[in-house]
Amino acid sequence: MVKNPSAVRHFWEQHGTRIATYGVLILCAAAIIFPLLWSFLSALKPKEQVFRIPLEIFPTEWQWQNFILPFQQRPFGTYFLNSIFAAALTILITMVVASLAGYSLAKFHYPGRGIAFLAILSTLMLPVQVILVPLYLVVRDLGWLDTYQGLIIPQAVNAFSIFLMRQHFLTLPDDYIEAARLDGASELGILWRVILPMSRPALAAVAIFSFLGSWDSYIWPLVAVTKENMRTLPLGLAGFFGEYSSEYNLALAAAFVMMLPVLIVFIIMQRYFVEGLTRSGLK
Amino acid sequence: MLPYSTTTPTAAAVPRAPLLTYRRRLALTGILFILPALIYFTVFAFYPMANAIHLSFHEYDLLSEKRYVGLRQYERLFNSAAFGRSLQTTAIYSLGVSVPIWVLAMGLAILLNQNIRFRTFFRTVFFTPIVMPLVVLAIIWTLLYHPFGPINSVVLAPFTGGETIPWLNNRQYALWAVIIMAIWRATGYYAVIFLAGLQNIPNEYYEAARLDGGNGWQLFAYITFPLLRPTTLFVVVVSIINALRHFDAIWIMTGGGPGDATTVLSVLIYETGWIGFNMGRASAMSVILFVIALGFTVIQLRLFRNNQ
Repeated sequence: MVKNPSAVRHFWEQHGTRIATYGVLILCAAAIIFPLLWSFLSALKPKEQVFRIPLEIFPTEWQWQNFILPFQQRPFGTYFLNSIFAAALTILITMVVASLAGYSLAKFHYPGRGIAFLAILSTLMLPVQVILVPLYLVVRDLGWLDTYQGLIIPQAVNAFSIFLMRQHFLTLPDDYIEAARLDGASELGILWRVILPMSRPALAAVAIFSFLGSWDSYIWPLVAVTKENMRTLPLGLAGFFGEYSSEYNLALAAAFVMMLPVLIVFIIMQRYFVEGLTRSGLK
Repeated sequence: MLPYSTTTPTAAAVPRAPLLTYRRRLALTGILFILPALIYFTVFAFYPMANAIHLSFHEYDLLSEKRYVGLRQYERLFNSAAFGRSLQTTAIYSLGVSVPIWVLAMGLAILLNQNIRFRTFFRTVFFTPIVMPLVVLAIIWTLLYHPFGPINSVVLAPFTGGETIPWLNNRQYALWAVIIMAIWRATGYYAVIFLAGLQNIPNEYYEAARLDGGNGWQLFAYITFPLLRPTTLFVVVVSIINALRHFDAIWIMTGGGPGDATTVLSVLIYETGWIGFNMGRASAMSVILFVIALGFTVIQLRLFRNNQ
């Protein structure tokens, strides 16, 4: 970086900038890490210690049982399974619908394709609150209130997944498809055996976003589900927090139980996260 | 006569006929493949959207028959002080979240774009909050804001002398408390978007400008900022639209309170529909929220077109 050999002063100027740069970056990183670290350590503390002044960073005794207690006081196991089930089905449905639609938008020509694409994209700009009431009515009329299909399907397909798949398919050359057609493969067979195997990163990105969206989903389950045994983690956790709001340590422990799968996925698949999210600008 | 001789095709039509059917078959396949998505969005997005407009002209409590009231719901809304306050809160919230994010995210991105070590580490850390479940972050922040929590007792103690500010229980502070949380959550994410934009700017521009003796500020004002314009426009509009739909964290942290201090439009829609059972009124609010979001989308499309 020190390209200008002239003055020592200049060197210090650059050095100063570098120190300031690192200083700001470290400060910002600390502003993100500290709250998460504090919450994690507080989840392990005895209840009275969480807000003791002056603040104590480390637990006086490490109460690992705090992570188990919420499961005994509330059916967190059920919430957890519901969330896993909802996320798995969401991923599956999105992958099928988004692969088909994205492939169609990228590689086929038919009248109305442009309008169809715009219409699908436009749903991204539609805040869910706008259609909350009528969506609830649709699900009620289908008889899906308090059912898994009512919980999962209205939120299963995201236009962003379709967009992501389309953008990816556009980068694949048509030659593969033409060659497979000449070999007599069916159109569905081409997608399944030729195109999708070349699309693992895009499919991974779609899977991650569907997982995150489903795992985090709060307002829709809040209106679609009333039975205790149908609740997902966000509902269960918010309910638990509302009821045991003075059991800070337990609420935080339960929160970390919910965060764990996300952290694991985030650490393993970081590359796809950044790539996909920056391409979309929407979450 | 045999069937195949009845057509008597002309010389020109022979090669064209199969081509057309082939093309048509492909077009049909394409339509077939997009059909599931279109049916899905029709049932779960377009029809509900149309129905929201329909319901906004009615009185409906979910139990009794709905009753047509014309524009009465809108009339009542515009005469309602609570709705006016909510619009104001929504505006303060959306801009209060977005504007600092633009500045902070661009600044962070420029720092990240320097030739620094541990860039991946910093980027990962800044990106972490956006992938964390909102319910989890809402709980964490509720406790951070606790009168005896770390924000009062550690971060602000040197400035306030240990005074306990009841962040979430005070009309004066609650809105800013949820705004700060939203900024904390999303800044890193927009910084990564800015970073992607910055990395598209060729390094030669900076080298040439440095040779000409340009200082850091000039490099920013004459190279970075103008060339980053498309990314900036994108972030400006998308951050506002995203802020308009925030609900989860506000609902968990304050429930829209104290009083109606943090009752943004999306909270008011939920309260009106599911606590007040006034689906017509909630739908009218939804339509207004939709118009606002649409307005920003149109602005974005315009700006992008002009930009290209």
